[in-house]
Amino acid sequence: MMPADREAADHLKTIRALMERATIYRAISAPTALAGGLSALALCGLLWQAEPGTRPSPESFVGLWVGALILVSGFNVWLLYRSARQRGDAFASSGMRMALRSVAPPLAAGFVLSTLAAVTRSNGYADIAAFWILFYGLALLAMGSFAPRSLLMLGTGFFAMGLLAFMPEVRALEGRSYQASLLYMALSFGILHLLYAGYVFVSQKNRKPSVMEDLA
Amino acid sequence: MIDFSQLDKIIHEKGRLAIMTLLAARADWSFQDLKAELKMSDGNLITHLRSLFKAGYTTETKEMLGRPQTRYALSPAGRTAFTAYLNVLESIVRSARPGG
Repeated sequence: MMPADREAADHLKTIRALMERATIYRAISAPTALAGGLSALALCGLLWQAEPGTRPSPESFVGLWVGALILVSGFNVWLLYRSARQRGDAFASSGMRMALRSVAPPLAAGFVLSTLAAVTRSNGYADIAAFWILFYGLALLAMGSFAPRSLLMLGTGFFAMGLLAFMPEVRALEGRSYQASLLYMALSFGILHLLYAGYVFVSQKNRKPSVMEDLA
Repeated sequence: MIDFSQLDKIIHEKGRLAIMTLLAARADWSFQDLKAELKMSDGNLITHLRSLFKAGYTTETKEMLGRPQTRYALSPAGRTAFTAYLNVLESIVRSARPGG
């Protein structure tokens, strides 16, 4: 027999866990992060091999990354649509609308600033990468009130790396701005996404099938 | 065991408590979302939702999203009852603490 106070404490703990789960929305699933990470690494690998004469211009560089973003976002939308359909629910859930409202301003700011850097600087690759990483991190952190902790950790990683990319030491790489930008994009959009995907895969595998068991 | 005389018997059943908790966390829920989150059978979930509705703790809204769908939410009375239930649990925990 469990003492009343312990049973009450366990009930409260389970109620809190259930409420937290109900208010959390994971905007980036593990398969999306995996696809994003692999795409980023593949794109970085391809661009790294380009000879100085055949390298994309800063404008094309932005265009290529926008293309990769659209592809991965399309994959994410398809996953969300499939999941909503399987549950017989509306595709545009309240969680999705909340997530879009939060990420839109920082993503738009990052896009505008990186495009300006591409247009105004002939060798602005490092600036473009820094803006993308920093503002993507800010977009993830903007979902702080309803995102799972793992997504916030990912956002923190991007935010820290974005700030680092603006440090004077990185500016010293100005002569190798192109390589520096690829290195940062590979470490952030590539590696951080893969680490996040691995963490989410493992944690969801270990997740209890239902909190109902705790209430028994 | 918890002193049942102090607790709302309608809420103090694991299935209904879980439903009330979810309804307290969001504005409203569709039947399918509740079912997916709680891993309950259709029959079990419907029975619990009916009990809560009869007690006046929930509201139901029918809508058409391609096909008919019912959305469930806590009524003001349900929110008050859920808060009172949590307060009883907390008082039990507090009273067991040294100096509580």
